[in-house]
Parts: sequence; structure tokens; C-alpha cells
Amino acid sequence: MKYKYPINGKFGIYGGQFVPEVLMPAVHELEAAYKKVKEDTSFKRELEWYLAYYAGRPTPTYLAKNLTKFAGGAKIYLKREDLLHGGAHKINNTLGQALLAKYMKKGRVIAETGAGQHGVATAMACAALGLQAEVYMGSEDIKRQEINVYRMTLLGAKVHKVDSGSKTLKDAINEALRDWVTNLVNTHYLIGSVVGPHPYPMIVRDFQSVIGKEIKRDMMKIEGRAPDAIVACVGGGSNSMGSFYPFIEDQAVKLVGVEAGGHGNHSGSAALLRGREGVLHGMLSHVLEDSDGQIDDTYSIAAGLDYSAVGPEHSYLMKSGRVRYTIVNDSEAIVAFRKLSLLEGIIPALESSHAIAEAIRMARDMNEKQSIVVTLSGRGDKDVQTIINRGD
Amino acid sequence: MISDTFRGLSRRHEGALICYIMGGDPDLNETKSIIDSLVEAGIDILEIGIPFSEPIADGKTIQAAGIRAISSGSNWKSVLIMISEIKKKHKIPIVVMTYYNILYNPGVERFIDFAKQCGVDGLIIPDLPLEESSNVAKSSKAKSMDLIMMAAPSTNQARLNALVKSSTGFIYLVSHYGVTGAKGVLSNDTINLIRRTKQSINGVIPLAVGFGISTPEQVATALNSGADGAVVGSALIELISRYDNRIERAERIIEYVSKLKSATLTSIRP
Ligand SMILES: Cc1ncc(COP(=O)(O)O)c(C=O)c1O
Repeated sequence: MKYKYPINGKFGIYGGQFVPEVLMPAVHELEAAYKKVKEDTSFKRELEWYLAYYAGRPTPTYLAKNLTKFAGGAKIYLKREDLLHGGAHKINNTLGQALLAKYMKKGRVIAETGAGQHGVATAMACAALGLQAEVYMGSEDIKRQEINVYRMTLLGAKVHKVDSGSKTLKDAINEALRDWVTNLVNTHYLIGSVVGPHPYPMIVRDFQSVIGKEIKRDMMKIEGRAPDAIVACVGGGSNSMGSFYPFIEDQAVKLVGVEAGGHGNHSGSAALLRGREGVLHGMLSHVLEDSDGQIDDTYSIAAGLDYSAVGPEHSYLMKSGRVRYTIVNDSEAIVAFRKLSLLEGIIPALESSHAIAEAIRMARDMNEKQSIVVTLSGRGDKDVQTIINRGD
Repeated sequence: MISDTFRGLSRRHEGALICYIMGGDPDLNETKSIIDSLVEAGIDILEIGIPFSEPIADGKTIQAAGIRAISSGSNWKSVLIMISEIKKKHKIPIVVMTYYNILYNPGVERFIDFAKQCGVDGLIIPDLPLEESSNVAKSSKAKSMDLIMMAAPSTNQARLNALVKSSTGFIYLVSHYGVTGAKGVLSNDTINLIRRTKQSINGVIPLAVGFGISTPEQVATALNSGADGAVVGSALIELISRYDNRIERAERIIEYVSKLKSATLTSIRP
């Protein structure tokens, strides 16, 4: 079965371009520019160079022997995106898009950020490529993530405080879109996940697909075959989409996306499993909303998963049944966070800890000949304070 | 109904004054009394917003109005019901402006059916560009509801032609690159944009200009540049928010809006 979405900007019914008329020429221009660089060998070579020598690719696909033994079933491999420059997979996308902005001759780059990870990765890529970065961040998040705000400033980015709405990620995206509407002639909007209007979900997926391609190559080398399952956490959905995409046509590989359940009891940010179809930030996808169509505020201990919607390709992959989605709560994620730290000497990001928790559950019901790859989307240094504050 | 209004105005050599307020800001009862004042001041078309929590095309003033409206309990149904009450009292054409998720949530067809029952004459959906509009266009057409499409400074001739073909009622021209919000003067770019757009439309459909218009002088300039109507929103909402006292508020609205309306009368337009 061939998989070649998006078709006309859509993944089945999902996706699309629900943006004001003023932005339509901009999204068309972006799509045309992306098509061009995709075939451009000098672009590809330059991006590969930055990914290798600046970001630190390829990352290892590491057999976590102690964790495997603890789980007592399938072999658990970790795809070590936490080892990348900046400490997360975000740099794969920001380097790609910043370079694209440069090829489009847009000297100014704007971005939104929640926890600050994407903001920092944008600031890094822009510094390296000589672009001016401006990052929108909710004032609530600025309070919670002081260090990342300072990191962005050190890297030369300007941080704009967003006081509208719930003062978090969704409001930062709104404000970035408003900036783009105003300054689109010289500005590229560098969106941080597989969300937003077409062509963003496709572009970000493609730039993150380097994760899945390396998993495929490494597992062929190590195991002589593809893994039995790939597990990744889903916020907007970029590290998971990048991990899954090269395997979508290989039905033998189980693909599992893990959403954040927060405190349990229907809190959390599980847009796919607990949301409805809706339109937010330029896309038709699953959103968490009230009965009037107002978007809900969300909560997860993992700031990077704390978003009211999800990328449209995930909505499609859930509907088609190709990917299974599940929920992990805060408390289960914290257990996994501590386990991986103790057993492997790797402190995972709280986002990635959601995926680890699910992988441990799954491994128990599989045998030692089988293998699971978990995408370790980031390192957990940024989360240590959160864990200290909880006091458990 | 909307095209009749434009036709009547054009016969009298007047431009249309279109006023935008948020349904339920500060609450729906107050909105009704505000509308009485607007009608008394002589507006030609009323544009009412249904609040959405993520208004990406709006600046600070309308964002704040939306938050006030949501916290007063206003939602799509209650705003539409209020409109049905207004329609019993006033003959004014009413256009609803809201974001697509507000229609998508109950279902496009159900929303448009109910809006029609309540007497709504047209819809403006800023995050629904031409390419995504076929569903809404079909349901609107079936109910003879106008679907007013927006054009922008970045819209080229080919897109404009397509917009003109599919828009009903009028074309809403966004005056500049940016979001809603009052501005001091209309820039030369805006004036040229209005002229160019008017010429391209070639009389097929009326043209109204909005975003940033707040003074009688701007209304006159927009109309003198070729627009058939001007939309005033943020400045009015700002004024409304300054008064708690109904009587005082009514006086101020009537004073301000009458001046805006005067600027649409060709005979005395500067
Ligand atoms: C380490 C890490 N993992 C995962 C995510 C979630 O994003 P996505 O679902 O787009 O991969 C984030 C977002 O900030 C993150 O920082």
C-alpha cells in the first residue's frame, strides 16, 4: 500500500489552509519554495552538513540493556535525539526551516514557543545561519521557564511576551500568526511542530523524518530487520511523525503515539483521544474544546506536550487505524523518568518519559526476540526543577 | 437584503456605514441596547461578532471584547437568538462575523440553518479562504445567506477575480497588512489598494473596506477612493467599553456614529 499524503494539502479530510486571505499568497509561496529546495542538491548538502557538524547527527540507536531486563520482554532501543545540540529533536526542524528561510531571502524569522525548547532551537539555528529571530512566548510560560528565556536572549533572539488568552503556547501561536500577517513580506514563520496550515505539517514531518530513516538503517544493521514497534510521544506530533513516517507502508511495524494525560480524570492534553474534530491554527484536526467550540486550556507536567490540538496527519493516521494512540499520565511519566535515570544513566525529557512508560508496558507482553524503538525526543535537564518542586 | 441596501444607498449617492460590535460584550442585554443606539445613529449594516477564544485576525481591542463576551456566557446560539430579537425591532441587515471553528463545532449546515431562522443576512469568516469555503458556500447558497469573502493587499488579480465570483453581498477589503485595530490615517498604500481593487471589481459587487478605520475623515477617504462602504469596529468597541452608564454610553455612541455616517453622504463629503 502506497502512502503519499498530503494530497492537495490534506491528509484525508484533515489539514488544509484555514488562514486569513492575506496569508494565502504566503503559504503558496512557502510551498513553492519548499518544492524547489527539496530537489536542490546544494540545499540538501548544506542541510546535511549542518545536521552532521552542528547538530550532531546521526544519533545512536541504543540498546537499553538494563531497561530491557527490567521490563522483562522485548528489547528496548532508545533513539537518542536527546544527544543533539540543544538537547532535543527540535533542531532537525529549525535548521531545515531556517535554511529554507535563507533560500527564500527572508531575513527575519518568527517562532512560537511553549516550554522554550523550540524557541531555543530556533534561536540557535538562526544564530548559526545569520538570521534575526523573534520568539513569541506566553507570559505564564515565561514565568515557568526563566532559564530558556535567558538562553534565547544569549543566543541573540528577541523574546516577545504574550499576555493574551491563557498566556500559554496556543496564545503564542496566535500572536506569531498576527505578526506574520503584518510582516509576511520579509518574515518566515518557523512553526515548531507538524501543525498549522499546509504546507507546515508536511515540511516539519519531512525535516523530522531523519529520525525514522536512521532508525530503519540502524535496526537493519543491528537486528537485520525493522523493529516490531516504534513508540513516541505526541505533543504537536513532530518527533513521532518523524519517527513513524518512513515505516508507514511497512504494516509489520506497530506504530504507537503517546499523548499526555495530565493528572488523569480527563485533564491532560490528549487532543486525539479526548478531543473532537475542529479548526485551530490553520488546520482541521483534533482539538480540545468546550461544547461551544471555545478552545480549552490544557495541562501536562511535560510543557512540550501541553497543547490543545495535534497535527492533522495524526488525526488521519488514527482514523485509518495505522497508528495506535494511547495516554500516559503525569505520575506514570515520572516513574519512567526516574527508572531510565537510575537504570541507564540517562535523564529523559518529561515529554519523552511518556513514551518510555508505554514502551515498558508494551515490552512486558512481547518476547525477547522482538524489539521496540522508543524515540527519546529530548534530555531531561530542563525538567529537574519540576521534579524537585513536586517533592515526590 | 444586503445588495438591496447597497443599491438603495448608491441611488441616494451615499456610502454604507457598517459597524462591528461583539455579541455579548459586556453582555447580550447591553448589546441589544448598544444596537438600538447604532440604528438610531443611522448605520446601514450591522456586523455582529460571535466570540472565539483564538481570534487570529484580531488586534488587542477585539480580542479583549471577545474575552468579555465569552465570560459573560455568550456563545453562537445565544448571539443568534439575540439577533432574532433585534430583527423583530429593526429592519437593518445583519452580518455575523466569526471564526470557522464556531460553525464547525455544531456543524456548518446546522449553524447556517439556525442563523437563517434568526434573520442573519450574511456571514464573514476571516479564517475561511476561498480554497476551503465550498462547504460553507453550498449551505449558505441553499439558505440564500450571503457569504462575504475577504480580499487583502496580498491578493493578486487572479485571486481577486475568483473572490468576486464567489462572494455574495459585498467584498470585504482588508485595508493593510495586519490585524484589526484603530489607526490614525489611511496610508497612501491603502488608498491605492482601494482604487485598484475597485477598478478590478468593475461594479460587479459592492466593495467595503475595513481594518483600521475609526474617523469620519477615514470613512470619507475610503469612499472617495472608490469604496462603497466602510467598516468601523475597534474604535467603536473601545468607546463602548469606556462607559458603564447606559444613558451616557448611548449619547456617546450616537454622537460618534452620527459623525461617521455623515461622512458617507456624498454631498457633504470633503
Ligand atoms: C523534548 C520534547 N519532546 C517532545 C515534544 C513535543 O513536540 P512534538 O510532539 O512536536 O514532538 C517537545 C516539545 O517542546 C519537546 O521539547
